[in-house]
Amino acid sequence: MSRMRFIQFYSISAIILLSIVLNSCSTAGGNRYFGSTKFPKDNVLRYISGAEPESLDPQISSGQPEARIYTALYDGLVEFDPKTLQPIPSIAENWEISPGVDEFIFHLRKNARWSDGAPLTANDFVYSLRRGFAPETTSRTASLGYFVKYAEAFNGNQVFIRRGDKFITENDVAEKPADAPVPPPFGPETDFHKFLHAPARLTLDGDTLKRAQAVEPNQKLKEFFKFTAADFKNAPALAAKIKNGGDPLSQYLAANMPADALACAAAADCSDAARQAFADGLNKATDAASFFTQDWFAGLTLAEPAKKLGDVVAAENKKRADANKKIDDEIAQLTDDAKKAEKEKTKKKPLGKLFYANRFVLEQSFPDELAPVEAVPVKGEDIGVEALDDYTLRITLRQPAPFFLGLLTHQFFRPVPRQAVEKWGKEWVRPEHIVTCGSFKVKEYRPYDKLVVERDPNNWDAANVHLDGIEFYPVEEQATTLNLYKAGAVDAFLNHSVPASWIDEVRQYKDEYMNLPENATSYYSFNVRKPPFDNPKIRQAFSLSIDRVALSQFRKITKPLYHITPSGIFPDYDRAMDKVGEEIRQEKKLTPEEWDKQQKQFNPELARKFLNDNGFPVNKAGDGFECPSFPTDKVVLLFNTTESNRQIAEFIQAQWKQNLGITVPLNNMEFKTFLPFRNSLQYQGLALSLWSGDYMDPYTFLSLHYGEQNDGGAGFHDPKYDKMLDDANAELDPQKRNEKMARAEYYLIDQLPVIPLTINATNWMKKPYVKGMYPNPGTLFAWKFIYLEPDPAKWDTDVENLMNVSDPQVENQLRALKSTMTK
Amino acid sequence: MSETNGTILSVNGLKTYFQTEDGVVKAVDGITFELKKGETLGIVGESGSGKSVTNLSVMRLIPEPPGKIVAGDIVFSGIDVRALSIDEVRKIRGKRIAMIFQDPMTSLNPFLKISTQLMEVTRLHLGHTKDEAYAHALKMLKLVGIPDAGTRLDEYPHQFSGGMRQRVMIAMALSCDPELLIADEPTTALDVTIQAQILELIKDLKARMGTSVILITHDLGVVAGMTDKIIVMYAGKVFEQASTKELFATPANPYTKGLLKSVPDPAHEQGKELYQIPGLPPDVAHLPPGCPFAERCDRATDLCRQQYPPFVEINADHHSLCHFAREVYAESVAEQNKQEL
Amino acid sequence: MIIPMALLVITLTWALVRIAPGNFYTQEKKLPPAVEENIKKKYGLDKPWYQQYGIMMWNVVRGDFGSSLKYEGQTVNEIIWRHFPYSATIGILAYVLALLIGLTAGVIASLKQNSIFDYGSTSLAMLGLSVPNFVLGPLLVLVFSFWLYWLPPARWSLAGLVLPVVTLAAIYAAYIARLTRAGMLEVMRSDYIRTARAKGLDEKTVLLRHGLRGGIIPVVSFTGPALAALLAGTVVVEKVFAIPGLGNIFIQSVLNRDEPLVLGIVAFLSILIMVFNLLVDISYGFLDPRIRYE
Repeated sequence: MSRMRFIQFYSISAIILLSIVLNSCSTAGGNRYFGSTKFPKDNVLRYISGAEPESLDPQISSGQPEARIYTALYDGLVEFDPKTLQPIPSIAENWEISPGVDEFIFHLRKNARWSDGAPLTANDFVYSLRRGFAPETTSRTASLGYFVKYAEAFNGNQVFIRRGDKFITENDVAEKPADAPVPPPFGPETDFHKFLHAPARLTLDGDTLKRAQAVEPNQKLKEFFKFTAADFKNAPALAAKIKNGGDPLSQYLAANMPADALACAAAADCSDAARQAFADGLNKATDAASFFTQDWFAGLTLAEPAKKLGDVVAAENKKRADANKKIDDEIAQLTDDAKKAEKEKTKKKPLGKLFYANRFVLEQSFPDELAPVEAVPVKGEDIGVEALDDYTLRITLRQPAPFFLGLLTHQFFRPVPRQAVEKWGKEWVRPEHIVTCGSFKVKEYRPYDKLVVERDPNNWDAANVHLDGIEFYPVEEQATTLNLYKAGAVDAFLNHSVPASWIDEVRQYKDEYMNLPENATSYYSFNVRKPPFDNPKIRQAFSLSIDRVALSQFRKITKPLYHITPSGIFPDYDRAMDKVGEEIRQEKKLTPEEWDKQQKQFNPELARKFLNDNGFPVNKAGDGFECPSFPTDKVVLLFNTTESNRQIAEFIQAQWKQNLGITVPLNNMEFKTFLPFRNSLQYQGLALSLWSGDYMDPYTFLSLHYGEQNDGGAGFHDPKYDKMLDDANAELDPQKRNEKMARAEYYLIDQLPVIPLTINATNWMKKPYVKGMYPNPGTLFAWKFIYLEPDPAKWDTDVENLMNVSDPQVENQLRALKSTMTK
Repeated sequence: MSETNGTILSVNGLKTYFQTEDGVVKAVDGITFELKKGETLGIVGESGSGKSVTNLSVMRLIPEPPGKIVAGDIVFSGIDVRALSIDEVRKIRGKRIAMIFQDPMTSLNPFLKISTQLMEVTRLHLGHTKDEAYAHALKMLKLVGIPDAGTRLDEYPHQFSGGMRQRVMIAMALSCDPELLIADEPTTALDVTIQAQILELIKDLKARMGTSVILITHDLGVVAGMTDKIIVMYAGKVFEQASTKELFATPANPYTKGLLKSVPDPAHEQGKELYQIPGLPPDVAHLPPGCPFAERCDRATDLCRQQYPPFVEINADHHSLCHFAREVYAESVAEQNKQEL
Repeated sequence: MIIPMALLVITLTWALVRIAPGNFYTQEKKLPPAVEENIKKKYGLDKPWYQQYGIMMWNVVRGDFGSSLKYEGQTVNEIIWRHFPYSATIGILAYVLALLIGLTAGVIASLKQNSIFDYGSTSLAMLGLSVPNFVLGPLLVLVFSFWLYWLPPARWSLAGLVLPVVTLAAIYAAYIARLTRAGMLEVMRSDYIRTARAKGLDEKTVLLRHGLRGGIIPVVSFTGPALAALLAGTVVVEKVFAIPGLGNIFIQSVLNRDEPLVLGIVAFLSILIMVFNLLVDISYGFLDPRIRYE
């Protein structure tokens, strides 16, 4: 045969032969362990931590790989219990909680040190928290700490409002002013504490224009800014200026005030009544219209701040005008009147009258005559942390938050070294400058290759740190991770790393593969602000037509999720949910079967009924259904591009098709493109969401839909729901609190702003000789508990039950740490 | 063995065949000739007649697949060339038998300096050191008439004109003072004026160094002034061989006569068509029985077409492959006498 | 010539990164708007786009690409120079290996045309060309790390260099072998080879002194685009074998929307490619005297 043919034949047969050989060799099982279990020669744990860490500064990054590194390098007030993740003593030996569950006093141990030998005191915590919340730090995790009083305001560049020597409080402008009882004393009283316990000051946006926009619609708040007699530093002079001043501003004011208001101008001094009249008149003139849109405004000579404000207003108006012009162009292209009207509605009017802004101009123009309402920036010194002495720290919250102690295990609250940060600025994290306070300190750092840490002899608990060091490898490819593990080059790797195609094989290694429930859920958010999903019944219909059991089996490593919070993670809360569920069932007069069916949320018949009742009739069509009236051009199922996300979406799309006769179009985007699109609620229909709990409390899930701006991605906001949660958090009794939260959760489930899908499960492996490392719901480790066991008889087996097995060494270590709590 | 009777090259019944997809090509199908020391032999024929292959066969430069010397003897200076091992053949190549080729542009290595290409011959065969070889190369360049030889020695082939290049080839070939020089169409690719120079140079060097020469060409004009005897090849066979004078004066083969007639004659009447031998050279893979020239010959008969012609001896030095050799010879004699009258 | 091209490339890249939605600080949780404002202010992202472009170009022309947005405290130049040696090592070793294997195989195949060796090496070359490096890599890992336990499956070490280099070299070795074989076959048919033989030179000298220089010219032409493709190839190999090289960093920086780093690497690589091509052009002059600039 010709040469070419020969080559083709040869190549093809070679390839076929090769694949046969490889295939037959791939499933060579029969070993107990996955790959090599050669015991490492050093007492050093080799761990694949994921992507290259953004920074070694614990207050900057929110990423998962970074979190595991931070907990090795930095100790906090409290540490994770290796199994339950509940807070145990670390730098704080013990603590007291106020009766209102809104204040904490921590008693620090006296032997805590930084890796450079300097002592670690309460002042370090104060410095760190102030620095963490400082806007310049641009911490991505600061929002976790917003429970600390005034922390959110400080982090957001907000301002207090002071008038004379009085600051406006939130109570002053509340709808229904509440009578705040004086809290009982908690710890030594200081001036700062008094300030914290005074009624909460109002904080407004730091930007003048935004402030003005916030003030205008709020009548009570606006009232506060109205001129009063007390505002006049020099009434006659002011009145004279207005009356006789030739500049357009004065003329305008004069024109818009009743004549008698300027009576003060004549007299040498004004009576109280005259001043009051003057104030009223001034208010009238200021509230008449926006100064900025007057034609004479542009010509005014103004003080710099007022001029800047004018520029900002002008720029905003121009932006709106430009946008409106674009919309006009689009309207011209349309033919449908209904669509035209719809588009017309999206136009924005130019900025209207803003009393606050007007007043600002006046204050700037007449500085000697008018007393300004000052905007005082919130400073770091205002936030609710105080060092009572070198070893006593008090933290004051803005609301009761029983879970706050658990929250303190997070890296954001771990201290940063003042001595390094102030000296080196943002370069303090370089290996030659960095100072840490955890069980380990940085030994060697080769970016994208490895981060090597070693036991820190200066750490207060160094004697109880079992590993000599840890090597963190930044490997991202899942297949590479598994290969390194199999070859015995690493001892454990991070969560969510076993590729889907390997799971079936890896599952058989029961001594190594960790597949336990996680403190994380996945769900589809509805955009509840856009039809047709603005109707709860429609939302429920879609939720009822998904068989979650089948979905979990399809996903292989997850469990079905029927509620907002994951079950099986918080045992006390699960009990509360059961109890409250039973109560609600009886209230609704349902039989247990009916209730159970409703809760399991798979009821295609009911789903179809809901659709029929709400304007989208479902008809039988052959073997299935059809729903022609449903606007599939207005809905999309959106997710970020990964193989598993696509599989889930296709599965669910098939379920809807099968049960409702509706084919929802799918769309996918790259992760960073997807996030802002979803978070800004631009999407129509549904969007995939995953949420990892920030702390071990159901509130971390329930709070997703709390408040006007929330992280739920659904645009859901219900004041009733908010109140239920607030009540729950104010409850001191943990049992009662759980029940109140359960009530709120059932309420939310009725509204169903999201379709719960699955409870995520962990998906990682560790070698059996690594002990003290538990598959807890957050996959977070207190590294000092971990040790390498050389005796194979003592290795970890059957990891599914690992959380129930008692390890005497770990137990003893825990006991020793907790012993300080009873001091 | 030493030379035999002053014969330097004796080729007897040489057959060189090529295996192709079309079948066996009998490029050279039984040729015999002799060259005495100091003689110049001309081999004339159209393209495809087998003249180049003959000479490549002498040096055993035929690429072994697809070609092969199937039969015949090649005796050079008493040595049976076919019996030698390839290493022994290499010792002869370039040293005792040298060859120059038709296209000097492609026959010199464009990537190497002239000096390198000249030096490697003498370093290989004469054991020169680098300096000796260099000096020798310079001498050779001057010998072939390259002006400013000292500078030009270090240049590259593309820096020389066509004629100069051929001179370089000649210099290279004669570096080791070979006994036999085979010149395969040395002037075909050159201008007419340069042609004459090169031929002169060869004649001159031949006289000076006593080299025997085989000159291959399709151009009768070239051989006229250069050779002592000529063989005319057609379709791989010798059609006529004679001394140069005799061949030009009294050819005994219709093909030879046709060739002679094709040479443009300055006395030719203007306006009249130039003579061409009708038809094309034959497909050597599929030769008809009988005389290969039959279909183009103006005196071919059925005998010619059916029976292979005999190699007729006209006299000791004159042979012709034709059924009517003597008749053609007689005609040629008659014509010559007429002219002399 | 190189500088204006590089600047153009930088401008285009900058535009692309800007157009792509998402920012370097985008994360799953929504950032409070105030924090986002602060970040923007800190990195000068609140200025109008043409101003940002101007500042960027002005710095770039002076060789200052600034600091990485994602990795605080590290300058772009620092990052590039720290990771480039890894990629360069693997790339150069791979190409050298490809040359060694390819040239040798090609020359031998051209000599023993239509022999078992010729067919065998050509088939192997076909395999090398058709198996993509993200398949070949894991395949080699399977054989050499898990069946034979000779080599580590990933990460940078002396033994760990072998598999990535071989993976990367495979396709180039195949190309080079084919090119060399074709080039040599053509050259060996030349008249000047016949002359060389006629001079009595042995086959080895004919091949190496006379044949090779002409025969490898196709390989030299190939080297320019090959090195460019090699740079791209290192990305996959670096990811699969967890090598801290520039390719790995580059992909990460794009996904992170880390603009200064993306620009820096793109500029660096463009200049590198252009320099390579220039060197290749110059090397022609050394190989082929006919095109030397006198």
